[in-house]
Amino acid sequence: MVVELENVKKSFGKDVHALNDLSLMLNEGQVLGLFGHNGAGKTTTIKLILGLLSPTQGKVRVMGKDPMTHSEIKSHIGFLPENVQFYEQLSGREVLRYFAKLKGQSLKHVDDLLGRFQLEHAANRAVKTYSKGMRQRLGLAQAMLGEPKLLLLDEPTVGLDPVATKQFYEQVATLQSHGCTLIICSHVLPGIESYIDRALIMNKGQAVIQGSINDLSEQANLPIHIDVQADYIPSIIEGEISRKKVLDHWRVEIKPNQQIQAMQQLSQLTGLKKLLAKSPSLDDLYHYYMATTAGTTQCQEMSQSITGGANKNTITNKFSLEVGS
Amino acid sequence: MSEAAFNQSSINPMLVIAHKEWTDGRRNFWLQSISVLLFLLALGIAYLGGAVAGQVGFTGLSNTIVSLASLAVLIMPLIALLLSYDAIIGEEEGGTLLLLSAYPISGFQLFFGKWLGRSAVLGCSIFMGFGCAALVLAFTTNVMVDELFIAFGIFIFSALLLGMSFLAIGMWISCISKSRAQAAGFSLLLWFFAAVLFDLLVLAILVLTQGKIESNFLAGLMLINPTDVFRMINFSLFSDMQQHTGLMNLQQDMNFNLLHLIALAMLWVVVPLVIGFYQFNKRNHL
Repeated sequence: MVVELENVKKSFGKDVHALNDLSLMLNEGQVLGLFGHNGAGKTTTIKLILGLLSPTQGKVRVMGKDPMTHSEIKSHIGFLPENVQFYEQLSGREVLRYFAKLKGQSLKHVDDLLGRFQLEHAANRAVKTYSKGMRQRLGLAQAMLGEPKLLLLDEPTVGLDPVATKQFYEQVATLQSHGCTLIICSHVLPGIESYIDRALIMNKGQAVIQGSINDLSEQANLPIHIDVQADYIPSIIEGEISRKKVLDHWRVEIKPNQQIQAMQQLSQLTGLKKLLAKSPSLDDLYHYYMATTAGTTQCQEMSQSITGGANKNTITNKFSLEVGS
Repeated sequence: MSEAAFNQSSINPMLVIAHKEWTDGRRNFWLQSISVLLFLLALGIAYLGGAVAGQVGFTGLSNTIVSLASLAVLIMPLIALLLSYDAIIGEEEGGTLLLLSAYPISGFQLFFGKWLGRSAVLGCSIFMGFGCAALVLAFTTNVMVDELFIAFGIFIFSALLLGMSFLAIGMWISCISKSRAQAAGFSLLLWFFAAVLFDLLVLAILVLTQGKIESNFLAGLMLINPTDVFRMINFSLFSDMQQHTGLMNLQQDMNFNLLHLIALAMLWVVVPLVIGFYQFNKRNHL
């Protein structure tokens, strides 16, 4: 087990509960996507794994050891924080060499990493001349110093162009094939689905759901969208929930367990020009799960706004009375 | 990397950090500009310090050191605070402090590495600036060379201690501030209090009590201010001088030993460093 969190709670003071009863197990070579809004507890989770915070309750183990007391495991961890500004007056190469030395790594991998992240042409330039994407790539290169066994990446693709994003995901796949465990933190990333084994969606310090993308979509049971264009669309399609016209075709919502039958039926239509089935994306799943938990909190907020509204009413009444008198 | 190898190299990260601070100091032209500033200051005072008294040209070693100490006591703390106020808060605002805490280095190595690197920048500037000025004086005046080097040697050493002390104080401020701007503000306030206001306050007490307070008590009060310790070290070298002004007269009533004063100046380096490190740890572990 590379990462092991058991019923972890983390509070700051009496009132701020950053994490509530989080459990998480990650094996060698697994890639976890950690999703949630700001303040969901992502950063707290990362800090616990890095041993920068101690849990109020529960157990944290990284590579079988308590990260608070075994700082030597840090030589095997790569980390990219969100919003990091590297030393502006140093060159890209100097920054990487500095961090390599601090990690106790030999400097021969520095040039290799600069090449892997397309920074060799700018290696001797001061970081202050770098674009946002270049800075992000430098940060990623920094995280991958010394072939870490565990990589924690906070918003790794922010500022990357589509080509660099694709290259980044390819690096993720390579690292994974070498047995590296990754945790990628993000507000949902388009295209990340195919690179992660597991997803953990967090909200207000709690795990909303955890599992493979398949588990997530099975549990959510979200409808499949089928885009179809033909001379004639039957009035009853198997498993149909709803349909609407989009440009030149129809978009039909189908119950997920009747997708095959519906596709079979639609594929036999005369004059078929288009037939495309789309299962729910990670984005859809994320919004679905966030909405299911938001339901409870929304109720609380509503009751608050009602009492708040009542107060406002009394104030307005008073005010109008005063005006009246 | 094995654990044993990691432990062996535990001194290295501190030197790596110190070296990076040194590079920063050079890149930002701190090293060069402080050296030039101190060099010009020393020469200017040596040659033009007597202008107030109607003399132009070198007016003697004791005059030079005493005047130089009076100016350095204002300028050294300011330079040291400027060099150190952003040491920790700057890394925090840039996000690199969080990143560094994920590295296999201890807070001790980070904090003292930073202090060491910045001390090297300041120390080198002091040595180059004042040292070159001493060399120029050795060649262009008829002052005894051994006297000159002893006087400048002690002056440079005490200025270094004063600077390192305020570097440590600046890092302490850097650890308790919430932003870089706040750290700069605190530093300025502290500088004004320690270098300017403190002596005026002690003098005011002396005058208001019309000397009824033991002068020993007031002289003792001066020991709690590193800038006064620095002045006492340099003025004690020339106790035959009648130029002592203000509070420094008090010192004549007591016979502080030079070695004791230097030990005290060293204490003034160690204490803020220890407190600063304590604050640094407190900040890092919520």
